[in-house]
Amino acid sequence: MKRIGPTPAELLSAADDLLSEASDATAGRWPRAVAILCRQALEGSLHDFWRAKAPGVEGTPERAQLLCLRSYIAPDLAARAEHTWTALSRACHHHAYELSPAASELAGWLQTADELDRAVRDRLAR
Amino acid sequence: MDATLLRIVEERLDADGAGNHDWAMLVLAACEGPDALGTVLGGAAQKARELAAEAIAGAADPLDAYLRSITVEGFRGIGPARRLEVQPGPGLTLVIGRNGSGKSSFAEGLEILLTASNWRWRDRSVVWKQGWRNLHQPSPTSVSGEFAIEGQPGTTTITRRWTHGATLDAGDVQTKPAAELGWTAALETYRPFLSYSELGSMFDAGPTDLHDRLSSILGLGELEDAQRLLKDARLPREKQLAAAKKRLAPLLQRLTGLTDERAHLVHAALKGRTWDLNATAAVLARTDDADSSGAGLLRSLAMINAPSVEDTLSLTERIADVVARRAQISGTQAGEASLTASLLRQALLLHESHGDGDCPVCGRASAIDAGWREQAETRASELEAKAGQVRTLEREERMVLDAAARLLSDPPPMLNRAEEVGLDAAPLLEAWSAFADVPRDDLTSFADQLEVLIGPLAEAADKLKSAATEELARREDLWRPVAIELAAWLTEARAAQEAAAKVPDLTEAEKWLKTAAMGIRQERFAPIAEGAKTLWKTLSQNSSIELEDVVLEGTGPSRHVTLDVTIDGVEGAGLGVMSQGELNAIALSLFLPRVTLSESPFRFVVIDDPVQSMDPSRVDGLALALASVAKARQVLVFTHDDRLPEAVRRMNIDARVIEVTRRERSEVDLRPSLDPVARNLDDARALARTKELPDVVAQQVVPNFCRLAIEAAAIEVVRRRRIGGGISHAAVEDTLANAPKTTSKLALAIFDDINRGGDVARRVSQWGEQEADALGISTRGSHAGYRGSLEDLVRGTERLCRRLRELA
Repeated sequence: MKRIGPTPAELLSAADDLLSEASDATAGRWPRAVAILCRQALEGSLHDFWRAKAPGVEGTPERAQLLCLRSYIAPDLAARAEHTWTALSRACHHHAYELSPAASELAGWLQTADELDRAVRDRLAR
Repeated sequence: MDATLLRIVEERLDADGAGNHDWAMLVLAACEGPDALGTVLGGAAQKARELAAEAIAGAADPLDAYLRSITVEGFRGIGPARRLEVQPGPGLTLVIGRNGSGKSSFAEGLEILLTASNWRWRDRSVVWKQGWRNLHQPSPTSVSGEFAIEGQPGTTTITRRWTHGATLDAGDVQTKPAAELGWTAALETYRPFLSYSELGSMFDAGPTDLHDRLSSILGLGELEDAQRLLKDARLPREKQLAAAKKRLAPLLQRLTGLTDERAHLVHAALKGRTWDLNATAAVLARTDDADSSGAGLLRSLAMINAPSVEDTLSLTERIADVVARRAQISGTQAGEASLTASLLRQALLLHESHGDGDCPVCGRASAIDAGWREQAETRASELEAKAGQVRTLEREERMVLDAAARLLSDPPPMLNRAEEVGLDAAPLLEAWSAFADVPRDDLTSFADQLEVLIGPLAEAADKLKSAATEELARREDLWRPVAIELAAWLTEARAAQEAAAKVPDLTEAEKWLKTAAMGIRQERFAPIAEGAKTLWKTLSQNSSIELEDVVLEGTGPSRHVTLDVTIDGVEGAGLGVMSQGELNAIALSLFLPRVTLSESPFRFVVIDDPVQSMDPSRVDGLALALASVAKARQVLVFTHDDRLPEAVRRMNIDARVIEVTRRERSEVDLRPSLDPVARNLDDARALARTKELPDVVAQQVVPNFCRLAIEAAAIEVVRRRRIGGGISHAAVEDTLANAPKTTSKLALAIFDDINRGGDVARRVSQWGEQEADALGISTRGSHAGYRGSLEDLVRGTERLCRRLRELA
């Protein structure tokens, strides 16, 4: 299956712009928008990886994909990616009584998503 | 003192029939302040009434104020200036934001703005005091509040600006300071701020501290201040008197050791409980001590006139002379010689007139003639001379004997009293008596004995005289230093006595005020206790803990709060069995009523994070309690999660919700928060329309917001239905947590059955094509993005949400 949307790197850069630039249009709306973009980028990296390495895995639940990933890239990064994905899922679903994520949390998640994307590209390029 | 309280005190004084007694005036003066107390103690007792009347007449009611906005810049979590606007009137406003979003900076900013100059009731850590400037924008730093004040058109603004390097409490207040609005005392009394940490620590410090915090609300601190003033006036006076007493003790001791009569008099005047200072002064003022019998006797003894050696010797000399002369003319009879001489003179006279003749005496013839005449004249002269000598001697003898009698007087009776002044007069008495008793028959032996006895007598007399003189000097030497010290003490004692004269009145005033304070405390606390009980009923939904009564009891170190709490109907249950959330709720019940007191000028109250550690059912109670307060007051609540807003929305409580988010570099965004469905739809719609947003972003993000709106609508339906049906919050949250997918949430919302996810799409398609499309796109597109019309998608989602919400 060919990618139809923007690349993970594009999504992450859009998220980064949202996080760092104040704009009246996005005032107060950006935290969850950033979380959404970040989550999509992270899932995008994951799907791209499996499509190239082991087609079919990209259709399984994301949690399973992330667990499998530990055998392919640095386990430490894989574990962090898993935590980040869980946190992003919470932020992107309407979760009980939780408010929008804070800027610092989002920055951390973006960082992890970016690292994961680079690691995946690196692994695929070999 | 607050005029209201002053009036209460005056009314109570009058009711107690205290009239214009000095102590009553002291009570009033102490309530009016240190200056007034000074005036009344200075003697102008009735001034207290005038001052009270002035204060009561002059007191302007503080102006009721609502909050209009808080603007914060460069302070705590907020960098660039942000303004939090609220409706200036009764109502509930919730400000929500994650921890660290900067929301609390508004609450703290407002508190600092109003109270920084009045910081003493708060122990802030140094860390807090140092970390108050914003990290990203340490300057400019300012906090500004806008208030709508009753009777004042427009807006009253208070701004506090900190110059570079200024400390937290050194902020410059611009425009109207709180003091000018008459808020200074009220800020302490009715402090319209409550924070989680404050609520949490309320019971930590013990019942005495809790008592003080509660009673400070009653403004009783001012009554305590007045009591302290009285005490501060009384103590130095008592000390002064005690010091005078202390200094007197050794003086009295020394006085008892003195035999001086003045010492006895002074001792008698000062030994009792009340001192006769005037008598003491009179004794000290005495320059001579003539009246003092002891001293008089001593002085007489010192000057005693005993026979002297010189007098005695001159007497014995005269005796010897008389004796010797008598020996010379011994045998001569003065009378015979004198008669013979006068006979011869008669015979001579006869011869002269009759011439020679016979002897007229013996008759011898021709015995008297010229020859006889010559002899007779000589003999008459001799006889006359001899008679004169004898008479002179006899006269001298008499004179000598007179002198002896004078010299040999009996010893004076005062010698018998010499013992009274501690002297021994026996040797002198003995010598003197022996001297005086010498027989005088024989002059020669008399003189001899006198000469023998005068030596010991003179010696004994000299001895006694010098002993008496010494004793006089000794007495004077002991008395004088005591007298000097007594004079110094007397000045001090007079001052102390004058000062101490006020002590009984001061004590009485203190006693009355103490009792009155307890009464006033009870009276003023009654509505608060009532309010606390009512609030607790609201707050403690479904709780087995009941707050029966809140009583302020005791005074001084034993003052405390008694919370009469029953658990499951069991009395005497302690606070120990309560959870932190329950303790917070009790604390809130106790402290929230103060904002509703009509005396408070603050129509607003700011509560920072009261929800922490409360379970969801208690949050419902909190929402209701806040709503009840918000009917008459402006309630501004800062909270870190969505529980309180959710409860407010679910229970249809009228409230405004503002969400605070913080970007990097402390840029804080504020916007009105809608309910989650409306907010997500609003976000989706706004982003769909935003031209400046890259398409790729909008296409990815908008379907997600649509999905979030649908989920929120489903959750709302589930919560309303289940919690409304009596299912516990915890069980409902459990159910929702087990439905992570959009479809399963919808199954719960539509069919009340999590397992009917497969039926969801068909049911939604029955509602309409747009609804079905919206559901399909938002669930799929939330991962992959959507290329179609985003605005159509939002409209469809909106319709779907409306349908869902109709289910509840």
